[in-house]
Amino acid sequence: MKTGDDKVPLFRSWNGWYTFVLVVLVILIVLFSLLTQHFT
Amino acid sequence: MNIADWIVLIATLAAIVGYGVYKSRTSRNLDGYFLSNRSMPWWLILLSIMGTQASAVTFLAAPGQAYTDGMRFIQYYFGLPIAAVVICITFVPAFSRLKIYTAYEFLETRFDARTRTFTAFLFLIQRGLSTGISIFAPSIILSTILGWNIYLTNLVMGGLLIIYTVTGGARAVAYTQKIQLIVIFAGMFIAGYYVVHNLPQDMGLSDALDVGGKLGKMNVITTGVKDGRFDWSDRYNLISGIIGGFFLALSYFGTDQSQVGRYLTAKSEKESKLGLLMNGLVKIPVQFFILLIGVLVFTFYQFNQAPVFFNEKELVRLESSEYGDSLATLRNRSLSIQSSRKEALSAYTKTKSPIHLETLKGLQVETDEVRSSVKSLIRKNGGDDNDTNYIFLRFVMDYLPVGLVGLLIAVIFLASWGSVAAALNSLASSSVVDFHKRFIKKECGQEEDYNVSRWYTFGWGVFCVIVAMFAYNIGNSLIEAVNILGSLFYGTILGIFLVAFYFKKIGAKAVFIAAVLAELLVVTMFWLSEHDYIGLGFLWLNAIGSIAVILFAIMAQTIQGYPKK
Repeated sequence: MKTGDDKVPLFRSWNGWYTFVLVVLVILIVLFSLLTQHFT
Repeated sequence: MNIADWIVLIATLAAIVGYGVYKSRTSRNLDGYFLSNRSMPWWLILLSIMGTQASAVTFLAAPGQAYTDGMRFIQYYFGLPIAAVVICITFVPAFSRLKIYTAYEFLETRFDARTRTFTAFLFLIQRGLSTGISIFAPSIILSTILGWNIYLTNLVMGGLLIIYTVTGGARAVAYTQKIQLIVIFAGMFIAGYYVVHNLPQDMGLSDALDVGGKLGKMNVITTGVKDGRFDWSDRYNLISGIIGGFFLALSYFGTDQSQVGRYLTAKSEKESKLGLLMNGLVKIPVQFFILLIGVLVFTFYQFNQAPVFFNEKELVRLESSEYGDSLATLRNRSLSIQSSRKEALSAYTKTKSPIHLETLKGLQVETDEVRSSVKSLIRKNGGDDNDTNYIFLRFVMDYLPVGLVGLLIAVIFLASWGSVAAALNSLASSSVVDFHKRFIKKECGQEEDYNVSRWYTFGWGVFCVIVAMFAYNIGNSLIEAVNILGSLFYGTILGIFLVAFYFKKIGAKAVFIAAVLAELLVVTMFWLSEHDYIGLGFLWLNAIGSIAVILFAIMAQTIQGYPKK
């Protein structure tokens, strides 16, 4: 497996990806909370 | 099953097996057989990771889990994206730098052979037993459909898997998982469509979710707080999902060879990371829709008579027992409840009145009482009182059209084969790399390595079939049984890796002692919880095991003394 210096797709660095994944998680939790409140 | 269903089922499975054998042409060496020559792009890594994790256990038991317990099981996956990020930052670069075959090879470079061997041994026990349970899952289906003896069914299912996996290796596993997931997603979508399609004409998806929600099934987010205090024994809530689920996912994707082996096949570190991160993005929405099918099935059975117990075999046994009259009484009561429910539902869907909602809730309580009474009779009759795994299957068999039943059954087989094949491949790779080549025969040619690898795959297939034979006595829902088993070992394994990555001053002796002590602690706490001495959800065991290894290792190293610079 090649290591290290491949160009990161879409974001400037891998930190961009990590932030994106965590933000999506937070958004999902918020959406699910709203869903729970709405249907219960 | 209709003849058309059988044709669809057999044709689908035969096509997958044929495709797997076709794709088995690879280099006849360890790199080719276990790692597909490290050539896979990120999207194939993603599908392979998903296919490995989503077994028949997911697809069969998850809708049943939502039917009985609501959507809150989704919270179990909230730690997964966080774990994916941590693995990309730490684990992937370390593994790819060392060009290892198994995650445990890394531990010998960091600690010593004893730590590597101990960790690999824990993996083999945990994954071997879990895979046995995962072979059993589709066998329940065959046994229920055909009326076959469950033990014979295990043999048939396990035999097919062994042929497929021994021939295939990692490359065939990855490519077949790609096709399997396409079929699985199509099947999920079709099942979801037909559940909604079979609801009354004036009821749409939103109305169905409204009914399910008002009856407690849309409990997607729960806090675990009861009477003002956090309930540690509550299995699925936001906190246990994020924290406990994080440790479980970190261990599963970071240290379990069945998953590590997937992203080690990547052609570059970038492809590994992308596959893992994309899984972190899509897993929760995918699991949400699988669970949602369970809620829709629940709503469906509000409008249609649900069986008092979904395992037909147990009901037939009960009918012909001394409890037959009691069962008949409960069935009559269920019919009467359903009749009242239809009226209340019709009124509620028109008016959304709180009075009719309270009536519905009261009727649901009565339904739960009837089910509870039936389960009690089944227990007295010496049967298995858990029908969670049969709920979705019952719906598929009773209400899906001809041809689609066969497709959905094929989906369940494919889901099982995908994850079991990856597991057998990983068990064999760890056996060969961490044990056989390490202790039995270090130097041998590529062809011999290849042949030995195939024999180990075969051997593990046989072991897992034997485990499947004993899985029938497990009382919990299968999906919980697999995860409970994981939680007994994952915490300790993860703790060893966390010490390896983040606590550079801790040496081999300290971490080994810590791992043994931590494992004893985890098993003890599990036993205490199972016998109600303490209340502790199983997800917490992952965190406890990991943290215990770290703390015990620090203590042990402190007693030993830290090495001078």
